[in-house]
Amino acid sequence: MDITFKNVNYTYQINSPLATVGLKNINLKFKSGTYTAIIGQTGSGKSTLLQHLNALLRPTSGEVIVGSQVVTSTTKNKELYDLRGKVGLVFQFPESQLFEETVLKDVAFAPKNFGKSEDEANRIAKEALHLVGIDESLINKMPFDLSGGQMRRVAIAGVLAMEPEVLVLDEPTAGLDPLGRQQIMDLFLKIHRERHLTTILVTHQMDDVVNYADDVVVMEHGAVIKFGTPRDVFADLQWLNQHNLELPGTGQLVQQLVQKGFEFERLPLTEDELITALKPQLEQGVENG
Amino acid sequence: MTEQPIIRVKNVTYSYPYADKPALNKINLTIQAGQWVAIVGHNGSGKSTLAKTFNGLIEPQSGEIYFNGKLLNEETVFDVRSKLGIVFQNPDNQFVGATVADDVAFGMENNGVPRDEMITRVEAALRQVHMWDYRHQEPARLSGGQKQRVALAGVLAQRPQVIILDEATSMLDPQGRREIINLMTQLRQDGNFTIISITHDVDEAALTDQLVVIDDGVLVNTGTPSELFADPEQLHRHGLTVPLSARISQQLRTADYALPDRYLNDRQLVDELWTLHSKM
Repeated sequence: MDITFKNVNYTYQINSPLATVGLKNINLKFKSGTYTAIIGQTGSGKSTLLQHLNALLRPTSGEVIVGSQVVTSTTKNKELYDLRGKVGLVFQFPESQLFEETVLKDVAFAPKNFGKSEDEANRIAKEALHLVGIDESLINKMPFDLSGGQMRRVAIAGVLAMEPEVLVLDEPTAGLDPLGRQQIMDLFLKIHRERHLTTILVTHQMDDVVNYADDVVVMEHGAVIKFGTPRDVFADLQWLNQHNLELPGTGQLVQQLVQKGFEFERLPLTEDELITALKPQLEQGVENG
Repeated sequence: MTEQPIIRVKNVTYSYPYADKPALNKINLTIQAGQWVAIVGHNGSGKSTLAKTFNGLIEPQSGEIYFNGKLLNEETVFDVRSKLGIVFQNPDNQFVGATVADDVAFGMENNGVPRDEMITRVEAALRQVHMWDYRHQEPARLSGGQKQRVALAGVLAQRPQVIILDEATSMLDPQGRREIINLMTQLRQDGNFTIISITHDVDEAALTDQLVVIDDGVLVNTGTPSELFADPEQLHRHGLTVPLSARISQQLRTADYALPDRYLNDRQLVDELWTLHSKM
C-alpha cells in the first residue's frame, strides 16, 4: 500500500502558549512493498511521523494518503476504521500493552475487534504465534508469566494477527539481548517478504538500517533532511557527523583503518562488506612480503 | 586471596513462585572491592535476579550472601542496603521528586541525613553526573540519558560502596548510552566504588575488569573481557555477542590471515592488520 505525505505540518497543543512544532513540511512517499528506516536523534520527530501513518495524529495542515484513504486535519475518527485495520503499529516496549488472561486471548483480541468470529480469530492468533516462534504449549499461559523476550513476541503476534498491509515498527528490539534482536529483525524481514508488506522501521540501530532497509529517511528538528538508500545516506561521513548521526558498527573501525592508511572506495557498511574490502589489501601484503 | 571480597555469593539457589526451574542454581561468586564487574546473559538468564540477592530484594531459598564478610540476614540487610545503590532499567520508573535536586535528596531524607549535609551531597552528586545546571528542572522533562544520570546521582549521594547498574543503559538512545558509559568510566577512575553492570551491551562489558556469564540461572564462566572475547562461539551459545573487532578477527583468522589467536580491540586489530598490509 503506497503512503504519501503531502506538505504535512503538525503542531502539538496548537493555539496554546505551549504549542510546539512536531513536523515541518513533510513530503515523502513510502512505496508499496518497500522497507524504509527512519532515523534521527531523540526528539527529531520520528515518532510524531509514525503516529500519522495510522492517523493516531492528524496533520495540522497538509495530507497523509494511505492507500485510498486521505487523512487531513478534518478527517473524522469513524472514517478511519478501515485504515486502522490495515496499518499495524508495534510501539516501543509493546509488551507493556499486554492485558488479557491468556496469550491466545491477547493475540486474538485484534481480529475479534475487527469483526472475526471467535474460531476464526483463534485460528489467526495461533498462526501469528507460530510465526513469531511462540510454542503451542505457552498459549494458555498468562502473558505476564512469560520472559521479557517471549512477551515481546506475543505483543508482536498481536499486531500481526490484524493481518495488516503496512507494518510500522518503533524501535522493536530495544532492550533485547543481541541474539533476540537478530531473531526479531529476521522475523520482520521474513514477514515483510512473505506477506508483501510495506514496512516502516524507526530505529537507532544503524546496523539494522544497513542490513534490512531499502530506503532511509533522516529527520532533524521535525523535518526530513535526507531520503535515499542506506548507501547514499552513509556515503558522506562529514555530513553524518555534522548532524550527530551514528554510523553502522563498522564505521568507527573503518575510520581507524583509514587513518592508518587503508583505502576504501566507499564505506563498508556491514561486516561482510568490510571483510571483502579488507582482503585484497591484505593479500597484496602476503603475496609481496 | 588476602583481601576480603566486598560481595561473596555462596551456593545460592532461588526459584520464583510457581516456576518449573530455578532462576538461580547454586551460584558461587566473589566480587573484589574496587572492581568493575559485568554480569552478562541473555534476557531471562537470571542476571537481574542475581543482582537482587545482593541487597536482599530477593531472599535465596538456600545459600548465603556475604557483604564485606558479614552474612546478609534480617539484622544486616538495612546496613547493606545503605551501602549498595541500584540504578534500574527504566528511567521513567524511578522518580519521586518534583525537581531534580529533590529527587536526589529523597534517599537521604529516608535515611535521616541532616539537612546541611544533604544540601552539600546533592550538589556534589549532581556535579559528578554533570546535571547540576538542571537542579531546578522537572525530572519528566529530561532526556532518557539525563534521567539515568539523575538516578545515578541519587545513588551517589548516599555514598554507597557498591553501585549496581541493572540494564541502566538498555532503554536509552545511543547518545544516552554513551553518556552513562562515559560517566561510569570516569567514576571508575575516581575510585572508591565497586561497580556491577548487569548488561548485554557488549561495548559496556568490554570496559569492565571481569565478566560473569549467566545462562539459565547457572554461572557458566568468569574471566576478563579479553579472555572471554577470545572465544566468540562460547558467548554466542549463551545468546551473547563479542565486539565487532573480535568478529572481524575471527573471520580473517578462519580465512588464514596471520592474526594472533587472542582478543584484539579496535586499535590492536588495526595495528595487526597494518603489519599484514605494509609487508609489501
